[in-house]
Amino acid sequence: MKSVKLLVAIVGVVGFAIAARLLAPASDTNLIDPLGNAFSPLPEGVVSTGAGLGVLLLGAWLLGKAAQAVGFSKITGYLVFGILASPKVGAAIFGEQIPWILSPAQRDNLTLVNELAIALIALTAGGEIQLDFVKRAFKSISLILLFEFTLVLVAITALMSVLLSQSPVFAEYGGLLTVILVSLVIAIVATANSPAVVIAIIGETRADGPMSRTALSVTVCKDLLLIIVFAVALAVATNAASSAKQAAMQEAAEAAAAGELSPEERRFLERADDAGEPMPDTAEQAVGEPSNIAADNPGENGGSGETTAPATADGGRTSDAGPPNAEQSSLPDANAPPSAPAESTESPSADSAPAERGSVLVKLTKQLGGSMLAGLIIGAGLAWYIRNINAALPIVVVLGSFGVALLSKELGLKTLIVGLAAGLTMANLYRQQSHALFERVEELSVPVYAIFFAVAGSKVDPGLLADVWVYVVLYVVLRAAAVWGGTGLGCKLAGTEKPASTWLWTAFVPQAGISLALAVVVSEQFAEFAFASQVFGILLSSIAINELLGPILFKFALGRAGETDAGTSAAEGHGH
Amino acid sequence: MQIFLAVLILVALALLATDRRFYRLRRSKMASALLTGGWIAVAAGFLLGEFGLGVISPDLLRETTPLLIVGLGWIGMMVGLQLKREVITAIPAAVRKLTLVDAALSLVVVGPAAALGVTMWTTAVRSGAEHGAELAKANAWPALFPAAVLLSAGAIGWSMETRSQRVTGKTELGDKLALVVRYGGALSAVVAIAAYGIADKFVVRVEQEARFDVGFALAAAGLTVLLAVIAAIIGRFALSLAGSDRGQQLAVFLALVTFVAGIAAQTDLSPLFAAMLTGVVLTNLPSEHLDRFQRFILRAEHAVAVFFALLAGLLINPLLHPYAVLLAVAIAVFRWLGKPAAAKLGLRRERLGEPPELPPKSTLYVAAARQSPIAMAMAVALVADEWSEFHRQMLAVVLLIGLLSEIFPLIGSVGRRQAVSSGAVESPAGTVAADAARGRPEPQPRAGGAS
Repeated sequence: MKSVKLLVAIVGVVGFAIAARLLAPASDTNLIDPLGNAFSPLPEGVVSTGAGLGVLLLGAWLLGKAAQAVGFSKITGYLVFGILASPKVGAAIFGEQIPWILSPAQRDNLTLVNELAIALIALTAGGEIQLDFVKRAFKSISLILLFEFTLVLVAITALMSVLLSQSPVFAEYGGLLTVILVSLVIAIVATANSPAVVIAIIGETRADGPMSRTALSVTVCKDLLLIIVFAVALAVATNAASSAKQAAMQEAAEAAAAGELSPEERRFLERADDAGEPMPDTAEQAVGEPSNIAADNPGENGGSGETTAPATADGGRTSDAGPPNAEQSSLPDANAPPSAPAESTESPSADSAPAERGSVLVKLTKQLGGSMLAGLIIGAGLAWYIRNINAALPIVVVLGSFGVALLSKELGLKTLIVGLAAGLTMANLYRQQSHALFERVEELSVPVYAIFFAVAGSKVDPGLLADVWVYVVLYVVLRAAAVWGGTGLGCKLAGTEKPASTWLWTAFVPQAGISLALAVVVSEQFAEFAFASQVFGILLSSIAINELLGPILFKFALGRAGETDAGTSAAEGHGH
Repeated sequence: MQIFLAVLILVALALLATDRRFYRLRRSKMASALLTGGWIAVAAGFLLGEFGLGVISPDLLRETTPLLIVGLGWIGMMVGLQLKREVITAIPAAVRKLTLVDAALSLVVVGPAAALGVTMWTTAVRSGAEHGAELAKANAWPALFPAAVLLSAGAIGWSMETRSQRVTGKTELGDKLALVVRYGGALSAVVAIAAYGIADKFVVRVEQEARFDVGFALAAAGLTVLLAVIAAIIGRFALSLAGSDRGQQLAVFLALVTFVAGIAAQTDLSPLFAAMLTGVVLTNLPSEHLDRFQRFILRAEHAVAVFFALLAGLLINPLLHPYAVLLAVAIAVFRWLGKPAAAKLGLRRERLGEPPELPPKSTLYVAAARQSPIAMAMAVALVADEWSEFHRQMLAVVLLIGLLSEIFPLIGSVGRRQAVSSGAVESPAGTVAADAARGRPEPQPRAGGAS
C-alpha cells in the first residue's frame, strides 16, 4: 500500500510539473510601467527555476524513499528521478514539442546548487577524518590504499586511453602523452568511493569489527589523498591538452601562411573559427576562402555527421548550444557537456603560451596551500562561532558552505579542498564544537544531496548513453576487478586476516558525492573538448550503477564477514 | 559570484539578528517596536541597496527571484500552518467578528481611496512623460488594479506585537487584550493574503494591455485550491515517511514550500496564497509528526522575517511623487483613526471571559493601528511578479505606511507612561496600577507572556 501511495505521489508531482509548463504564460518583452519606465519581465527560465527546484527536490526525495523501500540506496532514487526529469529524456520519449518535467533553462539555472552541495559534501567528508585513528592504523591503511588506488588508476587509465585515442580530436593535435594525461584525470574519478555510503551501511546494520573499521578509515583517507592528486593531475592534463591544441592551431596557421594547408588542417581551423576561438590572421584568412575540400571528400563529412555548433559567449560552456568543436568522433555526435558551475580549476593554460612546468607547480602549490589555509581559517571561525554564539546553526552551515564556495571562486582556490580542510580542522582541533555543527550538516545534507544528485541525473542524455553503454559496462567491470585485486594485494601485505581481507573490497565499490563532484569538475574543465560529454555520460552512468549495486554488495559482505548484528532490521538510517 | 555575495550578506545579517544581544534590546519598548516591525533590517537593506552604498543592485536581486519566491512560500506556509481548526474555534467569536469587520472596513474605505490615489499619482507622472500611447495603456485602470489591491489588502489587520504597548507590568486584563490583538492580527493576516491572492488575479496582462478577466480569476482561485490540496496530501504522506528525523522533515518542508511556491509562480498564481492554503490544509489533516514539524519550522520564523525585511529595504525606490506620499499619509491616518475605533466598536460589550467587560481605555486598542508585517511580504510579492520601478515604488509606499503607522501608537504609549508617572491621568486599563485602584490583587509574575 505504501508503495502504491509513493507511486501516486510521484506521479502527482510529475503531473503538476508538466501541467505548470503547459499553463505557464509566455513572457512579454519591453513593457512600460504606469510611471513610464521601461522594464523587461524576468526570463521564463528564472521564474520557473523555483518550480524546477521544488519538483526535483520533492520528486527525488519521494523516489529516494521508494528506492530505499526495495533495498537500494536513496541516492539511486535521487539520480533516477533526475534522469527521468531530464529534458533529453522527455524529448526522447515524447519528442521536442511536448513539454516535459524540466526545461533546459530550468536545468541550467539549477546548477547553481552544485556550489553549495560540493562545499557541504567536502565539509562532511573532512569531518569524518579522525587523525588519531589514522596514526594508529597507518601501515595497513596505507598499504591497502596504495595498492587499491594504483590498480584502479592503471586499469581505468588504460581503458580511457583506448577510448580517447579513437577521437579524431586527439588525432589532430593530441598525441599519446596528452591522451594518457587526460585519461589519468578521468581514472582518478574511478578511484573515489563514498564514505557516506560506507557510514550509512555500517550504521544501518550496526556492523562492528576489523572490516568495517578498516573500510571507513581507508575510504576517508582516500578522499583527502585523491583530491590533492586530482588537483595536480587536472592542472597538468588541462595544460597539456590546451597546449597541444594551441600548438596545432599555430602549425595550421603557419601552413596557411605558406599556402600549404592540408584538408585536415582546414577543417580544424574551420571548426575553431565556428566556435569563435581566437586564431592568427593567416588562419582567419584561410578559412575565409572558399574550399573544395568537402566536394573532394564527401563521404567523410556526410558519414561522420559532423556538426559545428555556434560559438557561445563563454566559450561553449552552455548546455544546449553544442561545444565549440563539436565534431563526430568514433563515438556518436555529442551534445553539449553539462555546464555545471562546479569547482572551477583555474587552469595554468589560461594564457595562450604553454606554461612552464615550474610555474604550474608553483601555482598549484599556492592553490593547494592556500585552499588548506583557507579551510583551516574557516574551520576555526566556525568553531569560534559555535563556542561563543551557538545560534541558528543550520543557517550557519548554509552560510559556511556559501562562504567556502565564494571564497574559493574569488581567490582561485579549490572548493573541495577548502571544504575538506575546514571539516578536518573542526573534527580534529575543535571536537566539542564540531559535534553540534556536524549534526546540523547531517540534517541539511538530506535536501542538499537530494537536489544535487537529481540535478546531476537531469544532465544525462539517454541518446548518448545508448551509444556508450559498452564503455560503461567495461568501466564498471574493470573497476570492480581492479578494486578486488588491489585490495586483496594490499590486505595480504598488511597481514589483514580473513574474513575481512576476503570482503573488504566491497566497501570501495560504492560511489556517490565526492565521485560525482569530481565528475562534474572534469566535465567543466574539459568542456571545450568534444569528448567531454561522452566521458561525463560514462562517469555518471558508472557512478549510478556503482551507487545502485555497491551498497547492496557491501551490506551482503558485512553479513558474510560476521560483523553485523543478527536480525537487525534494515531500518531507515542516516547518510546517503 | 555576485549572487553568492548578495545572498551571503543577506543571510549573515539575518543571522546576526537572531543573536541573543538583539533580543535583549527588546526590553526597550521603542526598540521592541522597531525590531519586531523589521525596520532596522529594512534600514540595513536600504543602506546596502541602490540608493545607499550600492553594494547590492536590483539587477542582481532579479537573479535571486527563485529564492525570493521560496521565501514567500515559506512565509505563507508558516501563516497557514497556524490555522488549525481547533485554534480557530477556540478564538472568541468576538475576535473573529472583529477581524471580518476590520477587513470589510479596510476594503471599503481604503480600496477606493487607493484607486483614486494611484490614478492621480500615475496621471500626474504621465503628463510629463514620453511613450504616449503605450503609457496610456500602462496607466489604464486595469493596469493599476493590482497596486490598489495591494494597498487595500495591506490595510487589513494589524501587527501582532504587543510588548511596546504595555505601560506598566502585566495584568490579567492586559494579557487578555494582548491576546485579542495577537489572535486578531493572525486571523487578519490570513484574510489579507487570501484577499490579495484572489483579487490580484482579476487582471490579466496581454503584452502591454491589461484587462479584467473574471473567468481567469476564478480559474486561478480554483487551481490554487487544487494545488494546495494535492500538495498538502502529498506533504502529509511525505511527513509520515520522514518520521521524527529532523533532516528528513527539513527536506520535506523545503521540498513542499519550493514545490508549491514555484509551481504557483510559474503558472502566474500567488505563491504566498498557494503556500498559505497548503499550510492550512496540511495542519488540518491528521498527522503524527506535524506538531514537531511545525515547531521545527517556526524556529526559523525570525530569521526569515529579517531576511524579508532586508530584501524589502534593498528593493525599494524611495523617489516618490508627492501624490504617492500623500496616499501613504492618508492610509496611515485611516489606520490611526479608523483601526482603534473599529477595535473598540467590534469589542464593545462583548464578553471575552472573566472579567466580562473590556476596559474603555487601553493603549492596546492603539496597537491595532500598526500595519501587519504581511503587507511588506505582499508588496515584495508584487515586485517579484513584475520587476518594474512602479512596483518598487509601491513597496516604498507600503513601507512608508508601515513606518507612519508605528509612530502614533509609540507616541501614545510613551505619552501615557509619562502621564501616569506624573499622576496627571489615571492608569490606563489593563495595567497593574489600574487593577490596584480597582481593588484587584496584583497578579503573580509569569515566566512567559506576550511578546
